[in-house]
Amino acid sequence: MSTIKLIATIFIFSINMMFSQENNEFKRNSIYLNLNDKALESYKIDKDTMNAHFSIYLKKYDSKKEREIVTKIYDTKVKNIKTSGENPSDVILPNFSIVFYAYNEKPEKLKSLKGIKFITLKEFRDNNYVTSNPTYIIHKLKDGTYLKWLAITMDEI
Amino acid sequence: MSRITNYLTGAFLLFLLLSCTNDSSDKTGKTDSLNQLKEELHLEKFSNVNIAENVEVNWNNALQTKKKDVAIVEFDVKEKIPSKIQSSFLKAEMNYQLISIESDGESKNYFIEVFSNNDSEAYSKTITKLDKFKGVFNVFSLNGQNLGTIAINHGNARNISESKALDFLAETINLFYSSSGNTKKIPLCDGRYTIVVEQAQDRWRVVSLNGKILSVEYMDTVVTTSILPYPCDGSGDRDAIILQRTAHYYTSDGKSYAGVSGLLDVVITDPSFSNNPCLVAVFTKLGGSPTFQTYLKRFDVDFSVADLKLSVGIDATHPTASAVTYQPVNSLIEIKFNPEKLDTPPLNIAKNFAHEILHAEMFEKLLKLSKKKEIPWSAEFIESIRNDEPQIAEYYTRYLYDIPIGGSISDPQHEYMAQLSINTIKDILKQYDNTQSEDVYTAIAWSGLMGKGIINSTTGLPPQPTVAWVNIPQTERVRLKEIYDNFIKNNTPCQQ
Repeated sequence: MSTIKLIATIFIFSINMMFSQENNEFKRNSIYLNLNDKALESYKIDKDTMNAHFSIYLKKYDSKKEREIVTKIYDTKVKNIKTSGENPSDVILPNFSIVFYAYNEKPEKLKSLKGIKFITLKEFRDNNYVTSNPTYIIHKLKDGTYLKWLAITMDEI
Repeated sequence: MSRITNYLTGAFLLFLLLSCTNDSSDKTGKTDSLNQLKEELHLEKFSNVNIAENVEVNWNNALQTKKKDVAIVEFDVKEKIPSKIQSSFLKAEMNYQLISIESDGESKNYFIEVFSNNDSEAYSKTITKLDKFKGVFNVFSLNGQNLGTIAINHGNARNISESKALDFLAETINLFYSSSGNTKKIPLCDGRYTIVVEQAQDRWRVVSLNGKILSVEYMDTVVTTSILPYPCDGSGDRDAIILQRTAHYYTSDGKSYAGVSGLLDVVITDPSFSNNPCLVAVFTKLGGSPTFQTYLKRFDVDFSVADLKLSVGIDATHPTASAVTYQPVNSLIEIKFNPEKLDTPPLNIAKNFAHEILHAEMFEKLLKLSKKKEIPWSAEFIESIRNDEPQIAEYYTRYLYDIPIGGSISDPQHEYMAQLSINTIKDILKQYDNTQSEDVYTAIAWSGLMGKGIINSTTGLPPQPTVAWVNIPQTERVRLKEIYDNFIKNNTPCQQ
């Protein structure tokens, strides 16, 4: 009788584990950021480390000159909008960057990156900014440890 | 009232048809009930042109079946001129049928339009022998009301429209269905499924001394009950998914025609869209949203000056945008979804549909008033439509053409939607999935309408916020952003 119970228990645990794995199978990529990377437009981490954002330049807007050119074109379009016949949908300053938000959730502290799969910022940008949503953003701290944030991107629509 | 008449007519018809006697009064009654059924069937009221104009019922040949307490009478319906579907996954041939079902004194009549999957056996002209059939039934009342869609997978009927009007028919079909395995019980990934699992844990007392076990005694069994996610077949049963998502077929000009849910017949779907399971699934399910359908109907060819095209691709100017609606070009408005931005929950994707259809609707209104094939953008044009569309005119004036002192340029359509359309988006979301809290619907609806730039975590404001978002109290803005973040993080994405 006890043996049957034990088997039943193991069986139920197995089922339980199977379901748990289902639940955790969300694909979540990790991007490793060097906070001094020029491709990083800006980042902000709240003192209490409850919130952070990481803004990464789109490649075509890496150079300040390119951003100024686009901004100037936009300003001209705005100036002439009454008479130019321009489609208002085209009179929009494009986003220069993609922003990851970690909100109201403390990051995980890592002692090392051993065993953690991640892509570099360069790989992320070279691959058309494709990643999961949410994505883990990992960066190094001065003491040699790392922070791992679960961050989302907002819909641009 | 007409429903009661339907039931009575059906019951009377069945009673007479199933009778074995041949006396003259029965024959007269049979003729009467047939006549009554004929009177109730108004093919001319069907919006589907093919049904309205191209089919006829063979009243002389009724197929009768009885199982348990259910009696079914089926009439074959033929096309006068056979039409063909051009589809990569549906058979070219279409079938129609008139069905009357009586059970426990309740009787209902249906007109069905049958689509068969390519890998299915041909439709057997009866709903009682569907074990080798895969396809969908478009179901109508006898006066042309679209009741929804039932998907059939080897005899198993699923009421994919989740319409109560179809429960009776689906249950009747399933009377003749015998499951061949547990896998058929796995639901499609079209909603949240949970299973209650009882976890029994035996507890034992182990008595040991110096590492040596002296005795093991059974103490008790602790049972805990957990609600766990039930696996659905997102990556498994391709056929079942196709059945669920079968939503449209095409005429030779590439325009969908009398689609399954009745809403896809008004849009042009690019193959890039129709081959995307996530988008097709969400769009198909949006067929159950009356509000969304109302907006989509604006593009019905009978009423619209513009066509609507759905496609998938990455916009060169806005490569990280989840979706973009392009203004009319030669009377065609296109909504393009970014295939790399489908890794959010289906409800969020539904929000993107709702958001973009509102853009498309505004473009359609402007195009209609212009009486041209492209919108002649100018301050004068916007002023000229003020009497017809005062709100749209006001938002284009205030945020683009004549910005008041202290104001700044902003996207007029987003300002309009943030101020006036949040509840519309919420309604669509609720009709899509009614299991979320009011806060979740609100938070999702705001996504995309907060403004441009990096959102400050303290104020909840981006550097160029929409006016309506600024007018939301700061604590509420921060709270809504947090709710949205949690929703995205904790729900299964539409596509991984």
